Amino acid sequence: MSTNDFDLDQFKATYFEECAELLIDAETRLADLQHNPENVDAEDLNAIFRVVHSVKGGAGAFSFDQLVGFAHIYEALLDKMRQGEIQITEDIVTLLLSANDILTNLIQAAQNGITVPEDDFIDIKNKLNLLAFDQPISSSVEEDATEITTPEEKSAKKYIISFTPKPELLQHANEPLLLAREMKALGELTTIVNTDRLPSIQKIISDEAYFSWVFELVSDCSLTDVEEVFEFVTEDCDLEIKIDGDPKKEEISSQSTSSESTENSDEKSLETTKKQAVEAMQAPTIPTSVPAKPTPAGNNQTSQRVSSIRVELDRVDRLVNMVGELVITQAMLRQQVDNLPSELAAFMAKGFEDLGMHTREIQESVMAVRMQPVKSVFARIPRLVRELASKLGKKVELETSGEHTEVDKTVIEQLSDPLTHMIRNSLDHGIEETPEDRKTVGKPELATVTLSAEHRSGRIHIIVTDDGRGINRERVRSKAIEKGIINADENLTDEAIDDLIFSPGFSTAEEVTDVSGRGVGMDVVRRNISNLGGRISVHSTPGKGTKFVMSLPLTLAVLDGMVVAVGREKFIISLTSIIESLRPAKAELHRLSNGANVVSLRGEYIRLIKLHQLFNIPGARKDPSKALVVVVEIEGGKQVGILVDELLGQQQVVIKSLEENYDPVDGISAATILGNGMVALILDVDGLDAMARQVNHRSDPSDLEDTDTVLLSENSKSLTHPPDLAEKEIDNPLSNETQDLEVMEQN
Amino acid sequence: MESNSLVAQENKAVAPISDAKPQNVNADGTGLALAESSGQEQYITFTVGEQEYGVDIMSVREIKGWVETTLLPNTPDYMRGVLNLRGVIVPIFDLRCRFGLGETEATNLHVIVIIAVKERMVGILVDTVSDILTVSNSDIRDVPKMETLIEEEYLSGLVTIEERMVALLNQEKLFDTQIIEKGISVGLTEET
Repeated sequence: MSTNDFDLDQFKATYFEECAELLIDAETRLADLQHNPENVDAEDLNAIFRVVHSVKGGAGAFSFDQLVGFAHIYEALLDKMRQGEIQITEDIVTLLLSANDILTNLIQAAQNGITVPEDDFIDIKNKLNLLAFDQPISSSVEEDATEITTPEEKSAKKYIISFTPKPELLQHANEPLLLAREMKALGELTTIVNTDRLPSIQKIISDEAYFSWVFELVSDCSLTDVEEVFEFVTEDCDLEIKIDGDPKKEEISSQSTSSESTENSDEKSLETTKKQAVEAMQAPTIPTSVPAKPTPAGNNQTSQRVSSIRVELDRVDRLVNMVGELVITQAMLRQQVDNLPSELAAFMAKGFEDLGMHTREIQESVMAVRMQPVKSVFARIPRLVRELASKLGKKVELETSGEHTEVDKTVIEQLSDPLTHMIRNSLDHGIEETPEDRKTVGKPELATVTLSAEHRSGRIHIIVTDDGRGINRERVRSKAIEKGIINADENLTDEAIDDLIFSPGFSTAEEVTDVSGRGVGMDVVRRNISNLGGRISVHSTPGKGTKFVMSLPLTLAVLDGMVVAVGREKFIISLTSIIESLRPAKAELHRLSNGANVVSLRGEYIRLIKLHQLFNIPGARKDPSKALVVVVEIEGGKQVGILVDELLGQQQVVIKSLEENYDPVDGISAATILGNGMVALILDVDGLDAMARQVNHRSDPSDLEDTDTVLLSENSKSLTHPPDLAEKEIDNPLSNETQDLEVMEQN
Repeated sequence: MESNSLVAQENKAVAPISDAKPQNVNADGTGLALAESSGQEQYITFTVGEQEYGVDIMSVREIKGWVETTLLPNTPDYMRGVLNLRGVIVPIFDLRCRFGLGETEATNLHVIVIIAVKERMVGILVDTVSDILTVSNSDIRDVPKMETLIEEEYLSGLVTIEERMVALLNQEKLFDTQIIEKGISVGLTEET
């Protein structure tokens, strides 16, 4: 490959993006093979072959030598398999799976610009090599590897290459000149042109290839290097490569060419497309690339797969944005229409109804553009399960379903981490230590972990089930007591005990393993998920297994919110975090001596967060018994009450970043735009909780302006207050001098 | 957006300016090269009280009449909240207040100049937009050191045009995040 200093980054990015997609495809197909080794779909093998081939082609373009070396062997094996030379057995499929894992690793390494130590995969490489070339690693592969690194060691050979393009070669965007140049780079080249096929000038079709060539190349490179030059044109030409006085290799090379031409035509054209895609990608690396070149390839490609296009997420976001604006503008206009005289309003009403419907539909379609099947996340899981199972010495089978369930791209991106963690947890803690353990309790040795996704009431449910031992409630309980998460005398339901595994700092693994159990466990999962506006719950049957249910919103771009008013300000609270809202009676309001206010709710004490106080909002209702308390769940499943003036209604809002043009604001997670075009802030309930604790600690100075409060603060040492002062007292966060933390009765 | 007649008027008044901008942007390569070769820059000027300020015309994105904003809690006084600019949330700063001259009582006659500061967009609340100035770089005078306010580092220079003094804003300093944060912490220490 030319070492010209081209800015390849952008092509590399495309390549890795494609690799990721291709690998997912290969992984899925391999999983099929694994489940059904007797009845193999030839198309699956072909598809996997194409994946590896494309990966190799691109890798060659970018000189990822290690990757090329490995992909080459892998590809060779696959090629033999699809030609039926190697029978597909379970062992082979397992080998293929490992090979795929290594390929993934190598691609990742190439992406990060590092090299994987050869020792890491030499084992598999040997096995592949043995199968693919009927010979151990030493000869061909070592050769292959060393060729790339130290080609000078080889002695010069004379290759005689006869190259006869098929007429359509040029139409497929291949250029013999470039091939010749590439060969020239390999060594000393003599070219003989054969013009026999050239018709008379009247009959010439400008984009057909008429010439054929015989090249004599004197070079120290290997046969593979020469073959690689013609890699992308093999199907568009008759190629024969001879080494002077080495008939054996000649045979090999011509065989591979002919075998390719025996493939059925459908498959072949697909193959061609792939190759051209790679070729097109490769084109910019060749300094003299012909500008017209990508066009025919492009045409060919669209005729092959028209079903999808690749669009930058930015563009879609912009579209989503503008549609959101459209919806707002439409709502605004509608309000204006209501103010018109009735005869005019009636005239407009019909039109507005249609407009409303259309805008809603546009919004839905645009949101649908961002939807993707969860497959892209699920596809990574089989590999994880394989790796973990072998590391832990367990036998585990993964079953997946519903991988076509669609969810917003933003959710997909965030889904991977928590899901990985959950699967790890299931394998490490859920499933019995050894297959023998399972046998003794009468279960099959092979444990099953099920991963499924489904839509349910406007949300996506992702369910991870294992048939392991279930949660050991006794141990969870004692551990929780030991860690001070619960009190020893606390009486908890089974569900409540199960729920303890989500508590921060909780980890029941007897030993810290490198799989899971560093104490950052399920609490992180729960936090990640609640950050996404989702919930996670666990259902366990001792001895039978455990089921985790993750419920997530379908998109992070819109949110179901409750609009609340405080003074003249309006805020949005995410509906998923709201548990209930109530207007507390005076008797239910209490104050802790550290200044925190609580409301008693069915025997539980819930801390009050006064929004108007935290945000210094004038004109708000300060008396909780005259205002409303919205009870929300915060991190760790705790509940706090947010004091607001009133609820204005439920609304779906489009989430807008505040940080795009300004800095993060405490207690605010994002912003949105209301129907009147005004910005409203979305509350971050966890952040509010943190703020409220701080205020309680240092007693907010802003309240000192209030003369009533100052007056009261002198009073506050006394533990009982006259009833008429109770109302104002509630607003007073002071009296932190008193050490007593007991709940005080107001009346 | 209650498009009041006054706002409309204001918008009309500033219309030529926003017209001028695209031309300048279009001219981009050539126009800029011209301006540079002759050492000239263009500024949009606006008034806050008696004082006239200018910002580089290339950073101005839009000029619009004052609309009600949504206040952000626990932000400095000069931070006048955020508004919705075609789906983008833009923070608005009160220039008068930023220079410690008290809060502007914004009416429909007041103007918000949306400018780009690095990657971000911010709005400045000013009294009126007055002019486009073409200033040669040699006419820009240094800001004399002043003891009273931190003002001088927020100005990039002074220009005299027909007896009027125009202070050119250094918006990167004026609305930079760190400075804003510093502003908040300064505000806090003053309180305690």
